[in-house]
Amino acid sequence: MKRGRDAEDRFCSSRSMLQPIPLDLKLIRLPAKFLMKPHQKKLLRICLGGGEERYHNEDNEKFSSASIPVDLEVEILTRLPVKSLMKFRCVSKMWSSIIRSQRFVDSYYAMSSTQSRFMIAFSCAYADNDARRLFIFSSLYEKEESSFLVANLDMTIPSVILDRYFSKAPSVHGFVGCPNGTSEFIVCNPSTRQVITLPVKGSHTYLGYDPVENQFKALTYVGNHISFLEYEDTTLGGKESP
Amino acid sequence: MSSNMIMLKSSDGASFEIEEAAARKSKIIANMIEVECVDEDKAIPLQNVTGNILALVIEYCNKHIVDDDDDVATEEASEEEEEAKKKKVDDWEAEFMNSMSLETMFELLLAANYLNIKSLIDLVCQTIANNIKDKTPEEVRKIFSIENDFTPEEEEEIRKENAWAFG
Repeated sequence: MKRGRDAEDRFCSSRSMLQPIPLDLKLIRLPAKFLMKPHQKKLLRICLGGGEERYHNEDNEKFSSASIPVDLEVEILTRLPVKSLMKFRCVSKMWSSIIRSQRFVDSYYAMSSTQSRFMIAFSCAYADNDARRLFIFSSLYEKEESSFLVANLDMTIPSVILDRYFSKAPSVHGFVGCPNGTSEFIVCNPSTRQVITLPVKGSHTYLGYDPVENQFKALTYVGNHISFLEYEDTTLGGKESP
Repeated sequence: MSSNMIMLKSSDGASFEIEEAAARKSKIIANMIEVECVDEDKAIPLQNVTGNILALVIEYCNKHIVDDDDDVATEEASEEEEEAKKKKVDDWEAEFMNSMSLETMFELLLAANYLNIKSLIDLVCQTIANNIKDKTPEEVRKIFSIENDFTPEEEEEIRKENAWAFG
């Protein structure tokens, strides 16, 4: 019961975050100075103004900091690993909303899709109840000629196992979906370690991605009927290539 | 000054001579050349870029214009040659960025942005990202001059949600 409510909460918060924040890079590029907070304006002037004055951070002698326009901050964030992004969500409200915005997630995904990635999920079918785990490993392809891979354990989901006859947990657009028993379907994003649980009507449930609507869909085969469960993805932070 | 050389003048009055082909790496300067607002004997004033940063930008442009020429000349180069050349550029870029302080990187990034040199923006952003990826949120706030506008409770909440990332 508790899990069900948790899932619903996350589900709702996902929806409320669907509105992209108004982060138009082109618009920001021009009036950058208006986006600066008052305490940052001085820094910007010094940065652009040249050599006469140098800003020294009093807290850290060695390092003089720079203040840069938001669009450049976004450019830098796009090049960070997901782990750093999750950590830097607590830098400021601005950074948190940038990192969670649909626009950012999309451009992050576009960037990381250029790298091939290998992902595998497995579990031990005969484990006792309290030893049930779903393990998800992933690895980047280093070189084509190399015949073995070093995979990292991305996440472990307790109390979930794959049904040894029916279930497969393929990676879909960076997400892994897997049925848990007959009434739950687990969807997780190994990059961000986020997991949501959807209520379903059977264990023959599969995850799919609709690129037109940018939606993830779960399809359940129930006897002679096929039922759809739709939910819009997005706030799951960084996605990665399958 | 030969006709395919251009003069650039930094905010602190230093003048630099640069090949037009190299200067065209900057979309802004390329546009100025297109619309013929560059006088042959007059320097282009760049009010937002200091001399020491402009020197770096020019070093980068000179290096990369040579590479672009190579691309045209050796269109049928073998894959290995292509790879070797790419590695050479990568090595040069790593060396180029390696000697730079984080502060200089930010100034270079602002200059690359102002002059609109996409590949240099990419390079500097990637280097800054590599530099900060293992830092703490506190260090990152300092580097970017960002004020923490979360309440301690809100910050704790985010840390809890993403506890794995702080390991």
